[in-house]
Amino acid sequence: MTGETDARLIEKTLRGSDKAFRKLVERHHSLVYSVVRGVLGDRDDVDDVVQEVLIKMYRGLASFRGDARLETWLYRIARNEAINAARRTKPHSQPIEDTVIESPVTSRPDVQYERGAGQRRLEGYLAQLDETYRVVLELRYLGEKSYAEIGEAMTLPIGTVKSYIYRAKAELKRIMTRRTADGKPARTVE
Amino acid sequence: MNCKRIEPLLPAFAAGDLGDDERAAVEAHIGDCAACGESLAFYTTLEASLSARHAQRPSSRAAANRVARAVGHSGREAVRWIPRWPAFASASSILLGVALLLRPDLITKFFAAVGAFFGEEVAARFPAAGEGFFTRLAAVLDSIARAVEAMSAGNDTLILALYLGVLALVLFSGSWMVTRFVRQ
Repeated sequence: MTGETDARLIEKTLRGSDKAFRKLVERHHSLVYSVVRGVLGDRDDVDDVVQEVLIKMYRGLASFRGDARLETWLYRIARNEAINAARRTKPHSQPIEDTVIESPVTSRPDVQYERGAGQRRLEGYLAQLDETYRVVLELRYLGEKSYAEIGEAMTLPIGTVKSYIYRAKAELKRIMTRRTADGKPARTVE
Repeated sequence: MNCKRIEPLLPAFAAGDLGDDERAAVEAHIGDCAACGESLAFYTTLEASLSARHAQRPSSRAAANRVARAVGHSGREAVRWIPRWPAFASASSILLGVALLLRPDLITKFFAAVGAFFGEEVAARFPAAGEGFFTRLAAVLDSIARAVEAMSAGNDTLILALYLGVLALVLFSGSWMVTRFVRQ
């Protein structure tokens, strides 16, 4: 981690430093966002829940004793808040269509449009995974966290994190290659 | 290795996580096995597709701004130091004005004592470094003491106190406006 430690930023925040608080939020936003998105999926209220988590973090900083890492503490708050939000409201249904998986970068608008559709379909398949698998995948790819960072947040050994990610991908493959009612494969790989 | 042992290694292979031995084993196998080759193509494409997901994440800076506003933290630190000096100056002016009205003799004694301290004690301790400076400072303080003494003899004390009060008001208003401006 570059720059000031979390402990130092927390100390400054508690003394009223706006800059330190913003740094703290910027540093941990991706973790919170990934966990909330992992639990809730692509819902309209994800940003609101993320904001709630970060406000809870702010209010809880004074009582954060530093026994656990800040990431671990935040992961728990984020997961609990997201689970509560999921209980309060029903998720919107995501139609599962043939999958179009993204290929390399291009500037062609038609191809970009197709890719947008592919990402939306991928979202639907991700929604069918177990919550733990979704969360590790989102932390890894949406949050761009290393295996070690995911392990620290979720209090899991690195080997277990890797194993969850590989199993999640294998599960995605199983879901995406399920055949539709008319016998055609559900998956289309570009 | 057969397909049953290779297949579970493919997600790790596509992610670039395998060690040399396992990677070599997978490469050797997929050269001869079309099914595993197809699986690997799937995992490789899935890897690329998942890796593109980070672009969907909203800006951390925008989130920080929103949260800072929500908890009333916005701009607090930026403005905190600005009203400090005028507020301090205003409070000092008021105190000085009140003291001048009530006990001008104490103000005279205070400036005379401080002037003497710098002119004699400090100047004697640091003769080489600042004899001239401390002597001049003592002279200025002594002049203030004599001015206050002279003013306290007539109605000038009231005028000075009034002047200090107006100054305090201006400083307070100024600091308030600056604070409002910065917060906006």
